[in-house]
Amino acid sequence: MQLKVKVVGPLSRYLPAGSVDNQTVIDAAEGATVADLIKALGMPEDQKCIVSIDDEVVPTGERQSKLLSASDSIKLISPLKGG
Amino acid sequence: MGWQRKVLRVNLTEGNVQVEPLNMEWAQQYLGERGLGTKYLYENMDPTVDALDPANVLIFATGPLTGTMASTSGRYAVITKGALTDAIACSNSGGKFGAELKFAGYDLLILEGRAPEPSYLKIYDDHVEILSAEPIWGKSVWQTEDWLKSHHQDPLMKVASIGVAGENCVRYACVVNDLHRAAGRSGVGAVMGSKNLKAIAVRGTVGVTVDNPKKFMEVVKETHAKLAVSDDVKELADYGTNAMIDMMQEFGGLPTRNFQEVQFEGVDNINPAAMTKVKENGHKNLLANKACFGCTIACGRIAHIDKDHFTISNRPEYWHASGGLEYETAFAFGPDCGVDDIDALTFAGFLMNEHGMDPISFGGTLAAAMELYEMGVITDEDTDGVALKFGNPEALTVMAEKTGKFEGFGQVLGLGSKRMCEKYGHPELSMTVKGQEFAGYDSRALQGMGLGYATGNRGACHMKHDVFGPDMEDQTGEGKALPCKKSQDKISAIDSTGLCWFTSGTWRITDYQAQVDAACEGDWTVARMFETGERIWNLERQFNLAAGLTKDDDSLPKRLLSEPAKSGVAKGKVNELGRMLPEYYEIRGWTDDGIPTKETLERLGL
Ligand code: SF4
Repeated sequence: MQLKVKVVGPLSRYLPAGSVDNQTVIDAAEGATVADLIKALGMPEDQKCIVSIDDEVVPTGERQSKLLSASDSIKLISPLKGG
Repeated sequence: MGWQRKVLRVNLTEGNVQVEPLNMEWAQQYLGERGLGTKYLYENMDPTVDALDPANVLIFATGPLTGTMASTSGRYAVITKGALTDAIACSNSGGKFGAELKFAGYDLLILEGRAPEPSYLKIYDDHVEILSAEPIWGKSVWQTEDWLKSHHQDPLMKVASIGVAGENCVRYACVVNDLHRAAGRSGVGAVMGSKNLKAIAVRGTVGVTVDNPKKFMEVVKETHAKLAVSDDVKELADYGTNAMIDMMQEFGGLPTRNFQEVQFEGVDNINPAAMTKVKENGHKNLLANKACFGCTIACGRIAHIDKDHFTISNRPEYWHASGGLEYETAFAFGPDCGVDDIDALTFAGFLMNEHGMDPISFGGTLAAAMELYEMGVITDEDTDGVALKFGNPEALTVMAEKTGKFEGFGQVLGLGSKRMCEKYGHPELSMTVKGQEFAGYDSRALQGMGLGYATGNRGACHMKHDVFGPDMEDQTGEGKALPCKKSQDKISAIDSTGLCWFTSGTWRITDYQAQVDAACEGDWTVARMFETGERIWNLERQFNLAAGLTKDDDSLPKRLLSEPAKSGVAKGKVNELGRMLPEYYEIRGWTDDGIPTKETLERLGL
């Protein structure tokens, strides 16, 4: 399946070159989890970031088990603070 | 050492200048800067006096690490009773002024009374004079600094001053140093104006010393090295603080149009990408970044405005580079007022520095006025004919200038949103806590942030607690009280060192503690740092209680407690303050009414 992903903020450096509007499409096997997606993007397994699917935050502890589907609106948001 | 062991006390009413030894017992209990300044304030004034009364005391405080080789060591704080909040105010700033005050030999500068005539203070080490500010009264911050440097023929002089806004006690006037760094919040500049004090000009040649130089050098080498390889530092340097605007937009925590919404359609026109985009005419907003004294991060932005833009096309005096958009400025002028014109935002930001005003409070007040205008409560007759509609860039820039110069409707905006909304019979539209406007984080999406805002000793503030991690992970009030309390204590201690909080994405508490321990006498352990922070937090609370504040002041506007977020991760949610606050009081060791118990006070030596 193909997953549409938006990566927001400094973590967008992990997006493939040529990505437009901070978005990309990742090929993934059926049954792929959030952890698989993070790996597919080339991020460290324990990358600090906020993952939201259809505007619901996925708790860090559920990354290994949370299954993804092609219709999901997936965002990975850089974990900044302050300002 | 670390401390200079000297306090400069100036009574402006009598024209007296005194140097007194620093109370070392207090230094060991409150460290420096925020903590020590608060202790001196508490012991030197009656908290019930009006903030603009000569009996209010204004303190400029450095920390034991200010001016040392530690990274980001340029910080100082201004502590007083706030003109915006009628509560304790502690606004810190970077730039070079704080280090220079320390180099002149002082830990603290205490200003009492009110000068009979407009005055400025000149401090050259031990040589301190109160001089007439007649030639610069009525001038902007930028003109004041220029005049002082040329009048005294000293380009290396460091200046902290107020603009016309401060002279007229605009409630959120700030103290600006080094042209575009500010002790911005709570109206500390209005207090300075009420004292008839236009500026403080400093040169110092005494230098600083530390308790254990060898150990200090080793620790500083390590802490510098950590910053040098930190992703967090690289991101701050590359993107500046405005990187937050994209995060908050996607998360759904970006307060928009006076907190009626939580996402803003115009973000792409004012975010870091927009700041570096080259326009068709070749103009690019961002020119460079800039560091405060001793800082190896350099998060500051230096920008310029497109000369073709309506704001400055006929005003070449604004064609130069100056302080660019920080996140809070971008949020307060952008989403909160519905404006997505980057040049208008940058120009209004220049005006804040030029005239000495807090952009968060100005933007929050203008946003409330825009809502009043759209409701028909105020009309063109009130607003000098300017259409105060959300999204109108001209409303932003014209009102920023009118407020800075204290003209027309700017005088009303200068009241701050609480007083202004009360004046028009709609206090519910003021997005404030203790009279201070919110920063750019909506507390329906960031629940612990809401608790931090509500319990903030200086009113709504995003810099005195840090619950970002738990808040991003979970959009309920559960488990937020403890991290809120702990981070308040930790930041109170860090704010008392003389170092910048923006190191906290890289440094752990042990890094601050190791630097303090090497620089200062006494055994500064991590536990002692936390205890010191807790003592400071409770002393600030004691000041506020003595000033007449109560549990009712630990609240949030009705909008955030009863109008659910319309989109984003918190869609349908309101802030759960009612659930978090009792837990917070209990963890703090306070009564159900938010008063520290006898045991708590005794435990902290208060
Ligand atoms: S991180 Fe930014 S605000 Fe802090 S000291 Fe450095 S330049 Fe100044």
